Amino acid sequence: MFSKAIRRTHMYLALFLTPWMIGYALSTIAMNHRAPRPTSYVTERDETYSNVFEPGTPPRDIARQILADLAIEGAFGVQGPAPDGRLTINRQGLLTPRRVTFTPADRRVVVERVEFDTSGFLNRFHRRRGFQQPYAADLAMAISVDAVIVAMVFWALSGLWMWWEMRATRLWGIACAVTGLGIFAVLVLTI
Amino acid sequence: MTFPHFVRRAHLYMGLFLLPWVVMFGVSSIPLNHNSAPDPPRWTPVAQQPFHVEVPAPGANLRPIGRLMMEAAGIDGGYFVNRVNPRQVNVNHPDFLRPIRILYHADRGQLIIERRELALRSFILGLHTRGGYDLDGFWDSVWALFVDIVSVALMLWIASGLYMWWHLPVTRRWGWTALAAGGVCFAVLMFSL
Repeated sequence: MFSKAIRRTHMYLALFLTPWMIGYALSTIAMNHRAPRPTSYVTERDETYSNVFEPGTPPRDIARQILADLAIEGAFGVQGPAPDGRLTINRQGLLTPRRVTFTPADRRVVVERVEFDTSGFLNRFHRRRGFQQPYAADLAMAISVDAVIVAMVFWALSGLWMWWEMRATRLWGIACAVTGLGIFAVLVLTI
Repeated sequence: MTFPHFVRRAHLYMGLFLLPWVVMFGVSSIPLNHNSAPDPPRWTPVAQQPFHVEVPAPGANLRPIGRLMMEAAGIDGGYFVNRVNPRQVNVNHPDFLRPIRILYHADRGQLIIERRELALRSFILGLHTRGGYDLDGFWDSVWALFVDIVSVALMLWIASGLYMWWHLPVTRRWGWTALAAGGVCFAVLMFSL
């Protein structure tokens, strides 16, 4: 019974997390063969922004308000203010990242989106993690990353368990495990 | 040996061979997903020596000066190189256990070699983030090759796992449920972020 539960959990967990594992496998290959490319932006909006902020308002608060007014709320980073007061907000969209430039002097806001490219998307997917951003989607992503972590360790342990139950595979299994562990240890200790 | 038997054995033996990498990538994701402000790294000076080379202009290829700095420091292997300012170039040799950095101060004509002592967090993060074939070190490329092998193995585990699931008719209904639920959750997440 216990053995069957282990087998079924191993399998159903893998079926559920299949999209994440495909994403991590493809993005790891893309990152391992890195070829930096310049980011190209397309202007989406260039308009007057009427909201006025009190002097001394923290840049993050200004950025959050601007993103809310533009209806593109979500995880972001902010740079500035520059000497002319300009703020650059990087809205960290996974599929469509955007750069929002707010110039208080002429009350202008320019929204540019990053043109989609597969390599950039995979890179962003792989690096999307952590519990710092206060948005539900980011929290869900961080929880899913934790689920993948738990699953990877569980797959390893349950895989060992299932292997040990199959007596016919023990000899070759030990050979594979010892070889893999040996190569890993040598690489970690020497490079 | 039948094909289903071969698929099962390949799934198993590949897993056993790559087990250390799977555990490593899983465990090393914990500090990345739960990042706290790390203690600043402590670098211990190992040596310093005179060194005179012109600092390349901004945008120029820094690999040659990096190689010269590595050779002058007597260190073999892969390295990262960056130009801090017109008077300083840094080289980082990413040793897993005790990384080395070489600082070239052009205005003083001085090369400073420093070593960082083993720190668990940095060690774990180094295992996860090291990769790429552009570090100019043979063993770095071997490590990158294993990163590729693990990535391809992940795809093969998925393919062989789906195959084995399909050959267990009794699990199809719950299998479809898990697969569909994962696909929907993933799609919603991708479009929400």
